[in-house]
Amino acid sequence: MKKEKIDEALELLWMIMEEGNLNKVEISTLPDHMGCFDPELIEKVGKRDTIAAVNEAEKAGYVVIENGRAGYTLSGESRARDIIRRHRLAERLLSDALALPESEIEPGACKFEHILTEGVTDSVCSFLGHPPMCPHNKPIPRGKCCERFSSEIQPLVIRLKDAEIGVFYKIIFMSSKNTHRLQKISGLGLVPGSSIKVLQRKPSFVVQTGETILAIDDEIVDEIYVKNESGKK
Amino acid sequence: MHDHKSGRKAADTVQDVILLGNPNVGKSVIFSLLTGKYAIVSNYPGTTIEVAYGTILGSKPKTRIIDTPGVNNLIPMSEDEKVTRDILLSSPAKAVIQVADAKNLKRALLISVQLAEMRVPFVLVLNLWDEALDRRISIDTAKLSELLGVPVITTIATQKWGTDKIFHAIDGAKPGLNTMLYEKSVEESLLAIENELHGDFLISRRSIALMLLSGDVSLKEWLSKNASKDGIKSIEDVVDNASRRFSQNLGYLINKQRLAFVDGILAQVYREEPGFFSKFQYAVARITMHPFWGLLFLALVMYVMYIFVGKFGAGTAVDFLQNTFFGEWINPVLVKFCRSFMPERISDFFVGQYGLFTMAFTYALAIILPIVFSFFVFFGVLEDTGYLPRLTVVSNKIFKVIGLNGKAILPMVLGLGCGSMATLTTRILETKRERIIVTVLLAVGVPCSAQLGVIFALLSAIPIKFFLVWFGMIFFILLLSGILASRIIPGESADFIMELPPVRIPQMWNIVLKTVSRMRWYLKEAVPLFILGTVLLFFMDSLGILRLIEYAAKPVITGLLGLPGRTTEAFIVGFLRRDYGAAGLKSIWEGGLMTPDQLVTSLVTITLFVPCVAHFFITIKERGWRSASLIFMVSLIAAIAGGLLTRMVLLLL
Ligand SMILES: Nc1nc2c(ncn2[C@@H]2O[C@H](COP(=O)(O)OP(=O)(O)OP(=O)(O)O)[C@@H](O)[C@H]2O)c(=O)[nH]1
Ligand SMILES: [Zn+2]
Repeated sequence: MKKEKIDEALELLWMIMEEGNLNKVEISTLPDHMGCFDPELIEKVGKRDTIAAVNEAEKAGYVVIENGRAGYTLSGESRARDIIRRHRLAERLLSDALALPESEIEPGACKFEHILTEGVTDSVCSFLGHPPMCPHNKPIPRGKCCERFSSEIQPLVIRLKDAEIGVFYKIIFMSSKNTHRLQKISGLGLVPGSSIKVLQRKPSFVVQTGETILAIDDEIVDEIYVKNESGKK
Repeated sequence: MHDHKSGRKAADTVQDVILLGNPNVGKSVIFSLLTGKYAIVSNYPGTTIEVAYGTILGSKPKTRIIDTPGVNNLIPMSEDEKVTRDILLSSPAKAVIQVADAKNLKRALLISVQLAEMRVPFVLVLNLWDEALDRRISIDTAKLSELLGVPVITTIATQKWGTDKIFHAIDGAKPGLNTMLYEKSVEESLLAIENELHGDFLISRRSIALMLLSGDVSLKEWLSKNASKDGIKSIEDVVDNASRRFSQNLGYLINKQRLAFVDGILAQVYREEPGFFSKFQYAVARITMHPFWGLLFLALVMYVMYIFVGKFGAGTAVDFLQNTFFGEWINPVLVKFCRSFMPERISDFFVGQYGLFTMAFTYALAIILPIVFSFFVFFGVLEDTGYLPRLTVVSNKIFKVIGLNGKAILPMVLGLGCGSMATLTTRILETKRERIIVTVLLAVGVPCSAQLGVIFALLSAIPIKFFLVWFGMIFFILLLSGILASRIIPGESADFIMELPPVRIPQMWNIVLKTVSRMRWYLKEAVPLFILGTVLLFFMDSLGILRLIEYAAKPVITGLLGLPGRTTEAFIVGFLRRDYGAAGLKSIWEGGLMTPDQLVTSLVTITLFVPCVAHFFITIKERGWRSASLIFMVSLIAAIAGGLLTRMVLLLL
């Protein structure tokens, strides 16, 4: 499918630019399989599949190529942002809310990115509490819904720091970049799925999970997203 | 092909029993019961920082038992957790006794699962059974034992309930059922790593592979001894590949899957009756961590300490012992006795100005002993209530200013007991940077109990403004050293994650045992130094060296600090022990040789003075020669600067 190829190309460019803070990408250095380019398909179609896709994108007016370097046009950039947003939100949805095994998350997200409408995307975003990061800790581009956060749409998933005191919540995900931190708190029993209750906010956050009472830094609390476990007080 | 399911070495000569478990679950209490030897027991995580060894009572042949620092995971996240894991890697164990907090079974099982993976024989002891019952938690131990494949027993260690079952259970220890499987690609990576590990290990290759896959860097050293260069290379490749394939950190992923597995077990054995357990203890817990009441509570605690240690211990008790017991009853008799038959020179050695009895023993037994005794009693009670870790909640923000977090208050408060022990406790801090900063603060200005008691007693006799100057100055210098140290010393600051134990009613018997064991330790460590210091002073005085030193130190002591020359003596013995120095200042003050201004200046100086000998050696051991010498110099400078500053402030007031 031509349209999907173009989307894939836009996505690939985004990922490369994001890594190196670039706004132009040397076409000859494009990798063969990255993003949603299927490694097996490349074998069949021929190595330079990614370059072909970028050329398609140029024809469609999303990309300009000058001196062998590709950059977005205005419409291309906003389209790319939407694709990335859908892809990464889908990753979050699959990994946190549906708890699918690792091997199914990437392929799933690669499919979702083409089919989600804007409305559905925003609902997913709200459902997840407008997560800032994907599971790989890459930023998720913000959408319109995120600006209205907390005022109009009541998210199902909230940050632990906004949780009501004394009420049990269920951890949905933890958006930490710090792997040492993740390992450490998981050793204390805090992982997605655990129940957690805030006992106090000041002078330091104190939370309870099971019979364990922990005092933790605000920064860590910021990274924990929870869902109300209704009825359980 | 040899399929070593269990990678354990056969028939080893020494086989130990290893006590292990989450922090603060009663390992040390059980250690004491099994060995008849007292190990310090306190109600906060991280009391055991050094491994303790003992022999199991009545064991034939004699079986050694090892008490290890508490761990939350056998993939170490801190230095003390590494100690425990390394013991499993290196000592052949006849059995591991895993002590668990029954009410916190989930976290205990996270460790059990790992022990099962290691294929070491173990038993699970569900301790704190009383607290589980209080919370209406029930555990089907028979079912749990069946699921884990190891004996499971319940105990209340503090009441010795069920603890004799442990003796039998040791013989029944078995490697647990290893039923935990990870997702397919993890299993594949594990297999690939296992194939690179050759030789016999004390724990299964699978468990080592899991550690490696979790990215456990603390295993590097061990690996370099136990795998070939190529082997290490291919292991690194496997780990690299795997971590690229997964979106999440592998250690975290593995933990998550373990916890999910544990949840499966819990669902079959663990039940909690709904309904909130609420009690006096909960109310206290709330108050101590409240932003306002918490501070008030802290003030109250300090006031009680002032009354009990400063007024009673350092005041009433010392007065009686020093002036009446030694001053009127013992010393006059001894003086008379010695003078009656010895030549003056020799009797001076025993009962003169720097006499063994009139100085060393009077100081050590009449001044310092009652103070440390009352401090240890007070502190023991405080420790057992579980209040200390709650201090971290109140103080976290303050410590952030100096690049630390609330956890740092634990070694600092322990420093009030004894600087050398506290320096060891810095191990509970996660990063090297934090450990160094706290070590510096301990060396520079955290007064130890005896010193603090003397200071309290002296300052309570003069107007309160002097106390405030002393306190403000110490606080200021500590803060300044902290800020400077955190600027100079590179590294990251660590997360603040502190487990808070439940508030508990202190156990009379434990306080007694703990105080006795600390007093014994104090007498062993301090009294010889008091004797050494006195003998040193005696000879320096008789040979005229004392005068020489006083003369040499005059520009600093008299010039800079404006103190009488005799205080030099106090500072000299202060090198041996700061409390000895403080006691020396006390007797100079009582001799009417100082004004209040001079007293406060000298007290600030001695508080900030160099760490005592024992403290210095521990610092060398923990931080190395170079850092220790540097810290020594810094505290000397801090002492002089602090003294000078105090003198100037007092001139202005
Ligand atoms: N109520 C009750 N308290 C207990 C029991 N066993 C231990 N304790 C208390 O629990 C606290 C911790 O005991 P320790 O023996 O120091 O624990 P530990 O596991 O050695 O702790 P670390 O060395 O810090 O890892 C102390 O206050 C004990 O008095 C028990 O069965 N019931
Ligand atoms: Zn949103």
